[in-house]
Amino acid sequence: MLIRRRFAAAVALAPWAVHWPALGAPSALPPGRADFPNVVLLNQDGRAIHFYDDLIRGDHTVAINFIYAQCADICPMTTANLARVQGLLGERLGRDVRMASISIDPVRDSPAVLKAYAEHFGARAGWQFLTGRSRDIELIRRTLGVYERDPAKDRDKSQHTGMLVYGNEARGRWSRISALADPRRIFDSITRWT
Amino acid sequence: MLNRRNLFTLGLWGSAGALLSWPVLRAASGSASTLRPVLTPFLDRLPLPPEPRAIDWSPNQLPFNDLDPEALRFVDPTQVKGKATFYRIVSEVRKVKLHAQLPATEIWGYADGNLPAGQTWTFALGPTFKRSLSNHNQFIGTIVRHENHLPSVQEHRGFGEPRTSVHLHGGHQAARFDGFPTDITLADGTAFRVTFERGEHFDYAYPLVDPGFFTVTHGTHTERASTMWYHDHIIDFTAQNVYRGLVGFFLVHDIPIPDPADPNAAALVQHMRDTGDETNAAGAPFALQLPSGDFDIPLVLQEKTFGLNGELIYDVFNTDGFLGEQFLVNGMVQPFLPVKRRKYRLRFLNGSNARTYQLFLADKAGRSFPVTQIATEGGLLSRPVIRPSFLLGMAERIEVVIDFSQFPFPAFSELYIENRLQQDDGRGPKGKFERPELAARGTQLLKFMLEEVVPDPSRVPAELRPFEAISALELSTAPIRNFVFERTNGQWAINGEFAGDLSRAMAQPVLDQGEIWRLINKSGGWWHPIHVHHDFMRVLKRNGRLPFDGTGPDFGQSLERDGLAKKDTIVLGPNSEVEVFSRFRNYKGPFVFHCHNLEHEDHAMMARFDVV
Repeated sequence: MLIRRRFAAAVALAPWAVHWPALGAPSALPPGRADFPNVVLLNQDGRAIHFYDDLIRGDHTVAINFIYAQCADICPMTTANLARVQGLLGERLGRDVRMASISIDPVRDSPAVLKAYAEHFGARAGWQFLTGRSRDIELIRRTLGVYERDPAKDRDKSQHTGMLVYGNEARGRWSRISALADPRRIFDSITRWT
Repeated sequence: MLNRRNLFTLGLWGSAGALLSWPVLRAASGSASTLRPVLTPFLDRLPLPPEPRAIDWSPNQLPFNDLDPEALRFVDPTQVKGKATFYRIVSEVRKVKLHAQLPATEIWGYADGNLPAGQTWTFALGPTFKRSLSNHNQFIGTIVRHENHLPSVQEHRGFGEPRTSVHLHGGHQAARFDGFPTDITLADGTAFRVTFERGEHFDYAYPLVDPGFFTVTHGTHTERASTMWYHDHIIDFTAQNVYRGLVGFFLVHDIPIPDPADPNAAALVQHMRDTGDETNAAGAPFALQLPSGDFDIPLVLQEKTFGLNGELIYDVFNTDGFLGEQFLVNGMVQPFLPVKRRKYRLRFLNGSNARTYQLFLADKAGRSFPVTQIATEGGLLSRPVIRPSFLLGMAERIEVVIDFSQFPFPAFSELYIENRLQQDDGRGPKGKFERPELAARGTQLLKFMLEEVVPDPSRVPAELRPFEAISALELSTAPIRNFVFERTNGQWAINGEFAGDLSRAMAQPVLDQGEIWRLINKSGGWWHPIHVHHDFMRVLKRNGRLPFDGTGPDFGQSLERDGLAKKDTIVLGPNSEVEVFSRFRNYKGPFVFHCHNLEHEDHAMMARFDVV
């Protein structure tokens, strides 16, 4: 038990280099409990969020992107753009559509850091900023297929995905769109089924 | 006892030696959901879906009394100016056998909606349209009502989006009938509503007139018959819907007899070449007499992955491009086709989501034999070209003639179409466009079983459909546009713009004014077959050089040089740049161009252009 915990800690501290097999195996069935990791993440308020049970599961659209607070490349533009999408969603945010921005620098992005980040962009309830163990977040990234097949490129954080993965678990529909796309285009996509 | 390792081994034996049949399983990894059936190739005959049944109608009694007013513009209800031909096509959920050893697979497919009572459509593919060009007369065209009988958007569970829009790929038709991917509002404020879901229908008018018809001279009539196909084109979900099966052929021939009312009839006669009758019963003076009828065979290459119950398997999180585990021709896994020892015209279409092929005609031992290419997307080449093999990117069409009388009994009893291109993932095949990496032996997709020698009236003349390359003068005045296809942060961009915003146009070419488009791939090692809707492209340069015209070393690369071929899909290999000439004729309005790696198209390697 002790050994396992130490291993987990080591993984959490390890840089971007951990090699994972491709997950998200092709399936005839809509992706469900068996396909998504139900790992525990922390939101900007320090509350535990089960990735599958609390975020994915159900008949709502979930829209997920990946950021880190110190990212100076695309993240600020991306988050600002998603803030415009949040504006278009109005009351539907949190009800029909759940937004989640997951940190790919979880060691540095504590809930407190993410809370300041979220407030800076005026994120409302229904748009969560999530951190957690590196290994768990890597698992999520692999499951959603948002990684580069070229390992060297995949390790380059400045090249991390700018895609917004969206879907509705109950309906088995999944797609993705650039988080930098026109906010109206993103809005149309993520409200397609509601 | 069968442990996982044994299953895996058995699976390998099963697929290599075809000694073991269903239900031998192959396990890529441990869980039940990754068990796959191993299928014995060449058990099933190649399916050849018939034509849809036209709906006959009398003057002033249209088959659809609620015909769309826009489609009605291409119909003369009195039939005085001509009689349009009407069809009803239904998109539906159905179960189809895709291999003898596989339980029936639930697919989404097009069916003939005008079958006699009690009959059902049993093919994976939709009906194969076989239509003649309408010459100068837009009132003798084709009207297709597409009805959506799929589950509703609300009811459906699983991949695919049951809202539809149908693109006639290779067709030259008005924007409204081109299968635009989504509903938009046009610049003048009018609604452009072209998608439809369960319970709704859409009327498509395909006048099948030559581009240029509406000009004073009725055009030059040089854009003629070709192999087209129709498929779903809904925004963000085309890959999933096409993978589910929404695909069919639409073949167009030249008419054998000119319409006496056509003021341009005299000039037309010399263009009536691809008449679809090898006997030339009509006596058309320029008819080529290419193999026709039972000897003219469309072949669509697709890939699918199946679960143990025959169910279609797809990976919604793979947006690099989905590769299937089984190879299908005309909706059947590795079928066979009995052939006579004579000439055949084979029309190859790559209908796969993300796989590029390089095809060889080979015998059992892997010895390969040349084929004669006669056509590509824009119809006949100006002359036939003998090819050792040919590359086929997604959505490309290549037509070849194979003379099976060259393979006498008893030395030859069977031949195969074999794909030798190496490709492991959706980024594209290995190697470069000019030099793809081939395996010594590939996958046999289709088996020909050679039968008796029969009389063969068909011919392949040394000249097919000659046409002039675009003149230097015209090129010198053509405006130039650059379209750069890039990948940054895992996103596709065209000219730096992310995510196919179809609410506005990226380019506004002027009607009838020729333009040079530079299609530039700066996305590293990725391959992108770029499809431009509306009108054909003339390929001027590839990587700064004259494109391949069949002379010099032939590695299988696309025959595309202007003056020889017309294209609607251009394969961009890694870091390639291709320069094409396009002139958008007849129809103004919104159209799209996009990558035909369907997962790339959906994520959103697509842009709108408006012809103004």
